[in-house]
Amino acid sequence: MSSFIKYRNESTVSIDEACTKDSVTYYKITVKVGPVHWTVLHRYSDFDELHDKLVSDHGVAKELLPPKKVLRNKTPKFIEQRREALSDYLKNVFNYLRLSMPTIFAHFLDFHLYDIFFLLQDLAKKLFLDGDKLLQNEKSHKFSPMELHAISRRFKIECPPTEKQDQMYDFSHILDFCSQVNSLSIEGSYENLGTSNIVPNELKFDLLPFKTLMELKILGVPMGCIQSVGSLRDTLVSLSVFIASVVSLNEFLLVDVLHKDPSSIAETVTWKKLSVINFASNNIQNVDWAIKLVPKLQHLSLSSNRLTELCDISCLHELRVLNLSMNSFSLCENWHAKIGNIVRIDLSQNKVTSLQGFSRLYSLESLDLSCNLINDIEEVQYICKLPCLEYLWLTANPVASSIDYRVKVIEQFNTRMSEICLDNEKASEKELDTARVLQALRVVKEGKTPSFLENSNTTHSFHKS
Amino acid sequence: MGVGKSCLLHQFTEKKFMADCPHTIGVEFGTRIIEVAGQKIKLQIWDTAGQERFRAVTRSYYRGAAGALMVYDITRRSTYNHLSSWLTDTRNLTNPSTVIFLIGNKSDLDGQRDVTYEEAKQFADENGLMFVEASAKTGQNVEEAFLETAKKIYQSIQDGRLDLNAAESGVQHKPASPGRPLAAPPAARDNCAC
Repeated sequence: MSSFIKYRNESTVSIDEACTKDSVTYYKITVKVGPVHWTVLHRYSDFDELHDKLVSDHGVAKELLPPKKVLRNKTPKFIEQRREALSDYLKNVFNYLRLSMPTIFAHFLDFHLYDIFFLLQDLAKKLFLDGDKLLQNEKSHKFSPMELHAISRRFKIECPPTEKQDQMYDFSHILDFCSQVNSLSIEGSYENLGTSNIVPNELKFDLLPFKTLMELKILGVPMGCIQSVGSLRDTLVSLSVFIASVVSLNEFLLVDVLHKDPSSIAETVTWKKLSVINFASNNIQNVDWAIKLVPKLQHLSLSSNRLTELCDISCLHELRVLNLSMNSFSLCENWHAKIGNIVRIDLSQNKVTSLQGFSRLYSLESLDLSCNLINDIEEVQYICKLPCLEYLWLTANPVASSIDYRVKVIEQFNTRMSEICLDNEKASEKELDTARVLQALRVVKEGKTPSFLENSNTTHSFHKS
Repeated sequence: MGVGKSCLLHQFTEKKFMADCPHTIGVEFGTRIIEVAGQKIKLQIWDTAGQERFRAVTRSYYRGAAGALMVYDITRRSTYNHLSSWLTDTRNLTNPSTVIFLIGNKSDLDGQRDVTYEEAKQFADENGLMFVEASAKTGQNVEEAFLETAKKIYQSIQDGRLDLNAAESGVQHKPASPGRPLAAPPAARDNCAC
């Protein structure tokens, strides 16, 4: 990002070409500030308008601007002449106003889009005028990596007294807003910003000014951009990081700790209030020890990653919801030893073949196993004793295309069969009746007395069928 | 170890003591809304780095401050000896109406005292500064120091010594949200000797 204040004397402007769009001739201005450059298109009348203001307010000589021409102003020769003249004009004015850099001139050259200082001036004005309204609004506030980078940098650069101007452009309005905002979202990009050579995802920033942030959403910003999380460890409740090529959770949780080594991690890096984590669409291969840094975690979503196995996360006493859809789980062995009192598990679109691993998750209420590889209807035996289970999804498994699939699954839940909601649907009366018949057959076959016989209305349905 | 500017600010805005506070890099920022004479006033406080290498950065924050709090450590005489150079900086870079408040921090460490109250008080009187000894750790006098500064600034406005319309006044009248008519944020700027 450009820093005019730093590169004031290494900044240049020039007009290298002209182009015609809809029979209007535009001149392409190239602005260079140190290593950063961008282009701006302006037609002659824009120059004329700017010139008037510069003459009246900033003492630019009136005769500097190349004159107007009404007739034959479209010939290539004339355009070339004018391009050269305008280029000289711009260089002249730029040299003259280099020190004061009035806002109107900076805007003409798009400094407010690419330069730290001028971008922040515009932002300060916006937040001075609308900050209170935005803060009252429940919606999450969006900052671009550019803006965050500019804020972080602005803290560390010397800002010389510029032209006298309204207090509403003061940097403090931005910090004031940042220190109060509750919800922030950041969206990154690898594409060059506008016409410049600035790549948003190459800009580093910190989150120090955000003192009361509760919700943070990061979309497509590499974790390497974040230099410090400031006080977020004490305030953040909900964290989402999407499509950011994250390989391990500690990339964010320990983003400001250089040596991500479990033995040297102090108390101070735990996330005290964080209860919701969503790292959908990343490249996470396993949930590692870093998860211990989030002791209050209730809701963990790692949808669309590359997970194959779950590590021991029983230290998360408050974890209730686990979303592991669209990963590569196949064997889920002994999950009761790895997870605490889990209530909901979403394992849809994985490669799970057996339900054995879930047999002792006694607090489980909802299990989504749609789009997996479960073949054998008898697998349901492993989960039919779970006392709280009410919602089960097995649709789009091989087993779901077998004959009487629904009835055969429901039947295995014995007395609780009417409470089970399979694939979003409770069993119909007809299904329940059929299930009871199947159950009776099973009793005969196995020679055991099923518990449902104690139930009065089952005998009634027996007669009916 | 610093004189405790960031800790004072933290104590004032969060009412908590920050035990292992890192060195401030450049500047930091804090706000708190207080009430003076029935008016809601938002204080915007710049917490500047004390280390010499950040002087150039922190200097750009003096301008436009309505008040300044200068801090030294009562257990280290060297920090007290630096005060005059900090005061020169402050006087040169702020305007004449800027309220300057001197704070002797770490008053809880009375046993290790290196600068007497009387000596500092005399220095403050000679230079027309307001003065108090405070402790960011226990919170003693922290609130008072900031509130007194705000009151003094408010008085200057009432007396007409501070012109709200001047760009450097550091005070803004905010035509705020419907309902309450006034919220004027005087920017106070912490600075120090360490």
